[in-house]
Amino acid sequence: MVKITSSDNQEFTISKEIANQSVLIKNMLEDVGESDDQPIPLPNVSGAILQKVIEYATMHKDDPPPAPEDETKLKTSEDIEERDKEFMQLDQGTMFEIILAANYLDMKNLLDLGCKTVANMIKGKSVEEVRKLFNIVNDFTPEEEEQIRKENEWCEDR
Amino acid sequence: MTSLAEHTETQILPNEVLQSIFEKLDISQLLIVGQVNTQWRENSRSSSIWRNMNLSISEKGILCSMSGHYRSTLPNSTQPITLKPTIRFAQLHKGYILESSNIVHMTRSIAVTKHLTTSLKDQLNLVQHLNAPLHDISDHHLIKFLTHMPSLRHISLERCRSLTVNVIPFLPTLVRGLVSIDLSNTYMDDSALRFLVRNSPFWLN
Repeated sequence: MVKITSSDNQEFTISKEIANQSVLIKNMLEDVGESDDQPIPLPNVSGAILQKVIEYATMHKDDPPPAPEDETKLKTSEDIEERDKEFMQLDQGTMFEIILAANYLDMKNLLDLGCKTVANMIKGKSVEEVRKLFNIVNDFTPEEEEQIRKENEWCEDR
Repeated sequence: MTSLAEHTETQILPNEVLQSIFEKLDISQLLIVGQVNTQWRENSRSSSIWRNMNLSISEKGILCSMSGHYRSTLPNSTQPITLKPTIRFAQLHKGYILESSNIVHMTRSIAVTKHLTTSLKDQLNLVQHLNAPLHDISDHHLIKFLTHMPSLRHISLERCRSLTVNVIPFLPTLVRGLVSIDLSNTYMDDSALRFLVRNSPFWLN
């Protein structure tokens, strides 16, 4: 078993196969060796988020190892498993925290799932709707704005 | 678990994560996110995204497919339809399909103007996948696209029945790195295939 602690000092004990889904933790375990009983500190992830991440890793512990990158395979956000879709039914703040945690912990599948989910949220939205959805401030100068408008003129049918 | 939604800022997503998100979008959505803010704009132009983009073309230009986003009670209306998310339709394009429950699936093609070839020149240069799903592309238009896209590696021209064998001699010079080309259900004959094999021994595997 492996012990990990969150940024708010919650301790979790997880099996090695679950821990190894995080490349970060896997590398740390290899560095410190088996004998070390010290919990691994994860200062970038809160307990609440870590719990969700562990839930995901537990759900996927029996998955076959990921296939090597196939450059001819096109990336899409349509192929999300049903159980993953359900897992991602979260408020937006939590979802982003999980994406950040997956990025930090180096969990490719979870990061990919998060990115696909966000991509699907973007689909079909206008620029203004995207800003509103993600609470993004338009930081373009009027000059840049004008240039962008010009560039995207070709989007209009003529 | 407390909700963090009220003070979420997507700006906190690091660039590499944003790029992974954008990699899953098609060109119409990519152009939208490129207008959101500075960080999104820069990341929407990253080379890894364009290298993996599957660009679809038709006779009229680059094809953007916008599907399932709006409803129309008058599917056969000749009135202009306002496309809900983003782009105004000046006229209905022939490529739309009516689906059940009145959700109109519309594909629209976009004329290639100087804006596309100037503002996204560096990006088009990187695209490796091209296909022509509407089958109306002519020799002339295909060549026009290929001149802007020297990095292409995979081209699908399946069922492009407007193409003739005359386009074939241009391929080895315009796209030197081609590794696959799908010519099924076209009017290409054996001489075209022989030409391709003879002139590009490293191409087709």
